[in-house]
Amino acid sequence: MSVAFLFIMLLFTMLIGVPIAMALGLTSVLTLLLFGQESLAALALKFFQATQKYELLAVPFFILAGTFLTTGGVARRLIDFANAAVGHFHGGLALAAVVACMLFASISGSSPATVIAVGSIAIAGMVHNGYSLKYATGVVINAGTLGILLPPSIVMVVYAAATEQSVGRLFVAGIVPGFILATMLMVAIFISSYRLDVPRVPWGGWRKLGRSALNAIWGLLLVVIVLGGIYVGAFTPTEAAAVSAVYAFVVAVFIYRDLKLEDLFGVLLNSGRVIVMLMFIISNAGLFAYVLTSLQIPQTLTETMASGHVQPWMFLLTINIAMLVAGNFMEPTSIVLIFAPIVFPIARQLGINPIHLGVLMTVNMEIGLVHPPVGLNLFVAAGVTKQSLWDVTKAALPWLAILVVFLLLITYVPILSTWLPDIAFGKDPFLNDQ
Amino acid sequence: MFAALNRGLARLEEILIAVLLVGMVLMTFSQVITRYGFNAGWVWSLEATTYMFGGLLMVGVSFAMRQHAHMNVDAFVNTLTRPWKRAATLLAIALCFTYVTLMIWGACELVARLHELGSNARDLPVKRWVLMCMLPAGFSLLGLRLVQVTVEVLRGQRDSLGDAHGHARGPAPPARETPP
Repeated sequence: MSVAFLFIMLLFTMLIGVPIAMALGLTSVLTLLLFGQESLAALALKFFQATQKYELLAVPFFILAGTFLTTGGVARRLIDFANAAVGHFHGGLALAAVVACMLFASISGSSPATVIAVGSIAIAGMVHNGYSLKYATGVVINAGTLGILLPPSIVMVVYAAATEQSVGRLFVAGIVPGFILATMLMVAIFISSYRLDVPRVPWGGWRKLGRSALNAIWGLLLVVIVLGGIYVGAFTPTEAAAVSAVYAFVVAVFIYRDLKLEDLFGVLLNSGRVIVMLMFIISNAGLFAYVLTSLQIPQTLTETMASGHVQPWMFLLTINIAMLVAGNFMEPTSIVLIFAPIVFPIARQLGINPIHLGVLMTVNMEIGLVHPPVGLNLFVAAGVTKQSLWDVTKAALPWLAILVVFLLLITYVPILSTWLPDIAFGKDPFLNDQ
Repeated sequence: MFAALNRGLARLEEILIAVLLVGMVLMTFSQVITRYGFNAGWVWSLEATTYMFGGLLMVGVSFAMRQHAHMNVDAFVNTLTRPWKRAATLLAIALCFTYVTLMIWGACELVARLHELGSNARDLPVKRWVLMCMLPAGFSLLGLRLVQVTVEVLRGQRDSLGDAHGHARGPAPPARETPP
């Protein structure tokens, strides 16, 4: 009864257009008032506690850093560098766009930000050199999903906070899958560019490559600082995020001088808006997770699964399908926050590695970002290229097949996600059942 | 008079958001610097940062409401005819009001209870109930914005509560590159 009320109410409030954050909050509060004994004061405290989690502080910092990097010309220099490095191959500019997306993804934690930063420059460059607009858009939209897979990643921070996993471990876990996806995209580009016979740009020589690398050095250095810093334990992911925000500000304002000080207020407000929007969802999702636990929904589901002899592979397939369906309606953070408290205990029971589950959810979210009706990457790409949403969707569609194959690979080959973090940090001592 | 007050409030929100955001970043950044540079640090710094984060959220929810930035789902309401869509939006607003009322109630109860306890924050030399006053204040501001949204919807100036397509997460418009 209470469970039915919870889910029907949540679905109903979301469908009639209540903002997701308030839909989660209202549903949880009402459920607890009707079926539980908690006081409203306890719920208000629960709501507030999300802001007191140290790991989650990384979210605002990475968003702020991303805004500085997007507006501050770092992306343009990274693209120049990628063009100089791989532009002369068959389909070179498209390959370079993928490389630029990888580089930008390694300093920013968001996919839409990656599409904006790389797409607004690289797509025009490709079209100028004879690629079709459709092809160029499709490449960037899909390569842009690397933003949440390659570290740092806001989605991973949120998953880690919701399931009490190590953020650093998850970040490192995304590296191998990120390179695999980038390779798959590049192979597809290489093959298709032979068939399409797109023009090649001449090799500019080592001197040009060196000069562009030197130009992009401040952006490239950030990759080293963030990943290296977390890897050697110089700082926590949260501190790394704060350092990259300060660093990105200094580079944008004082070194590249693409951002004027008087524009700073606007940049802060733009970031603040996104941060608050996400954080309001996260806080209310904390209430939702609390309700799930107090109604013992995960426990009941786990017992059902155990008695029904559900195999891990079936369970993983179910998660994939459910998350892909949810990806039709909601943005990644909300989906991860709603799903994690439900599926995490079951996955633990079935012996699925929590890091593997985190990467799997992230890849599902990547797919959610590139398919309609609410794929954020599609919307931002439509925005930066001035195309209709329908055109952008058609452009992204052929590449979606690659992402789906990639998802199956990640789902059923867990070692791809767990190998590198196990080497970097040692086996997780809490996983005694592995 | 009312419009001026409204503008002033909006400006205050924006300044607070910017200040809190910068404060959080600098506080965390300075922790790294002092740890490596001077082998020192402040105990209260982390708690101050998390309370600033809380403050940012509580000031920001109403700001985000004004800026149409809260994510919502429009796939279903867009299939409705205009009058039905309007009805759905008004019902959604009513539900939001329910949420805000319950949260204000809970937040006030919380503040009252902490006031009775009278305990200090963990590291900061401030009473906890004083810090927690940001909760009822923030939700009240959100309620105020909701009233304004209701008026806008009734006047037909706005037909949705939020942002279903992530426009708010779009590129930050650089003031210099776009011609006025």
